[in-house]
Amino acid sequence: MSIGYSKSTNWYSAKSNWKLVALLIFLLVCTSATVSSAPLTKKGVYEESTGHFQLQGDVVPIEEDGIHDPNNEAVKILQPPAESMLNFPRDDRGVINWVETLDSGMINPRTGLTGEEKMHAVDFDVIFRNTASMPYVRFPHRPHTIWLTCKNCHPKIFIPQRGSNPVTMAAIMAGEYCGVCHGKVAFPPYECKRCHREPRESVGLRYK
Amino acid sequence: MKALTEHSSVWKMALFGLLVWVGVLSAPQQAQAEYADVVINNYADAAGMRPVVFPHWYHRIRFRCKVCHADLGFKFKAGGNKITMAKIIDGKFCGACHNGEISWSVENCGMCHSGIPGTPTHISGSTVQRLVAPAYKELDKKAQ
Ligand code: HEC
Ligand code: HEC
Ligand code: HEC
Ligand code: HEC
Ligand code: HEC
Ligand code: HEC
Repeated sequence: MSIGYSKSTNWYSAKSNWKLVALLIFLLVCTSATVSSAPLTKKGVYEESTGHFQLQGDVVPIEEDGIHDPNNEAVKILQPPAESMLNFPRDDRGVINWVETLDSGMINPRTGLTGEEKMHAVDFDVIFRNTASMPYVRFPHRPHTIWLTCKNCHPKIFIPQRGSNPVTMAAIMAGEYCGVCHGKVAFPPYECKRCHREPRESVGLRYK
Repeated sequence: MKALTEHSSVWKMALFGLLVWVGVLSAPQQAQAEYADVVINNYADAAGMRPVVFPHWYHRIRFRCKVCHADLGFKFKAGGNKITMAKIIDGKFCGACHNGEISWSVENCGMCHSGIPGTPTHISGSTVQRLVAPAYKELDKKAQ
């Protein structure tokens, strides 16, 4: 075995090349930072745009969000999101926390066309324990049933029977199960700990 | 030699870990499920109108999901409801509210038909759109 030669082709194993690796990593971080902020400055290029892109403090005018046509008169009348949602509570990743927004009474969306109907909110949780090494998932019915009704989920998305739905993370990312809403209208799957929030040990004690 | 290989896998893992970390770090910047604008363009482009942009954030401040997705029967699928102007004027879908009573009426074409011409039906900024199915590519070809 000609050690000397194989050592130098195996770039990541060569101890003396750690500076190169560090440089590569640095460049990678830099490019990823510019790439992910690029849609901000591009106008009307919908292939690259991801629509409204606003975290706390950012304000993107409607006509620059990449999906609205700036040549449309009505664009000036449409309300920019930041205007009405400026003070809405956000979670620790900067995404609007709609559950808190509703619970705090900042908004009171109608429950029917005229607002006379009642929501049938139920308050019980289901723990998903097939989470590999992640904390267990606590599915709470309450924050869902203040927005939605049973038949939005049962039985089309979830059979209402504990443990009878083969939910996986891949399916969620692809827009099934929880992903029907999460990542589209409700908070996205990147917010791991809003779902994976049940410590593994305590579950073993409380649930059999 | 064995020590070397082990050493290399540490580097590999460190690099992999960093990649994942960078990925996760850059992800939340694009997380905007909170707005959820739906572009609806089954027929509009072909009929010479701008595509429709439906802002979820604006409506969910005023109505719970249940009102549209149960009472009015909107399916959870962008473009899946085959909405037409005839149905709207008939009081279905958007027309259940945009009738001059609950909200402004259908005369305000530009308020709904506000999308960039050629934009395909999709839900803006969704995880699926970015991660799994780059929906644009295919639809884009059709649009050209
Ligand atoms: C919308 C809620 C939700 C979010 C957000 C979420 N998960 Fe999950 N995750 C689940 C559910 C539900 C399961 C399935 C558990 C079961 O079937 O018992 C799951 C399963 C998993 C599993 C087990 C293996 C698999 O593929 O099913 C892993 C690992 C995992 N999640 C990691 C993550 C990570 C990492 C994040 C953040 C990037 C995350 N999850 C965000 C709900 C969520
Ligand atoms: C956002 C979606 C959603 C909504 C809305 C919803 N559920 Fe569920 N429900 C679930 C999920 C997820 C499970 C767990 C299924 C599993 O473990 O695989 C569940 C489980 C159940 C179960 C089985 C519990 C058990 O111990 O086996 C019942 C009963 C149930 N739901 C009733 C209701 C009722 C009644 C309503 C309306 C007031 C409702 N659900 C609304 C998602 C929902
Ligand atoms: C029919 C749509 C829908 C489905 C399906 C759904 N959710 Fe939700 N979920 C919502 C909405 C809407 C909210 C309110 C918060 C928001 O919009 O960001 C919510 C909120 C939550 C919250 C409350 C977060 C908090 O901080 O209080 C958790 C946890 C959650 N979902 C987990 C799940 C899990 C786990 C699943 C799958 C088993 C699931 N959801 C499936 C629509 C849905
Ligand atoms: C409340 C919102 C709303 C308003 C206001 C509105 N539309 Fe539409 N319109 C829609 C939706 C949603 C569709 C379905 C889009 C699609 O799938 O391509 C549509 C589709 C259309 C279509 C193509 C399909 C068909 O039914 O022929 C035409 C043409 C059209 N609209 C013209 C108009 C005109 C002209 C006005 C003003 C008088 C108007 N619309 C006002 C929501 C609206
Ligand atoms: C004012 C009516 C209205 C309200 C309120 C509303 N939606 Fe929608 N929703 C729509 C319309 C319209 C569409 C697009 C349907 C189409 O293109 O045919 C849609 C589409 C969707 C989709 C499908 C996205 C996809 O995968 O293509 C989901 C998921 C969804 N809504 C969830 C919700 C949730 C969760 C809430 C409550 C927080 C909510 N909606 C509140 C009208 C509404
Ligand atoms: C449940 C009732 C309801 C339904 C269904 C509904 N809307 Fe609305 N919409 C409203 C109300 C209420 C307003 C606020 C009007 C006002 O302030 O007078 C509104 C406002 C709007 C606005 C203006 C937003 C802004 O920035 O000012 C647009 C655009 C719009 N709707 C599009 C649609 C489209 C497209 C559909 C059908 C796909 C639809 N709406 C279905 C109730 C509804």
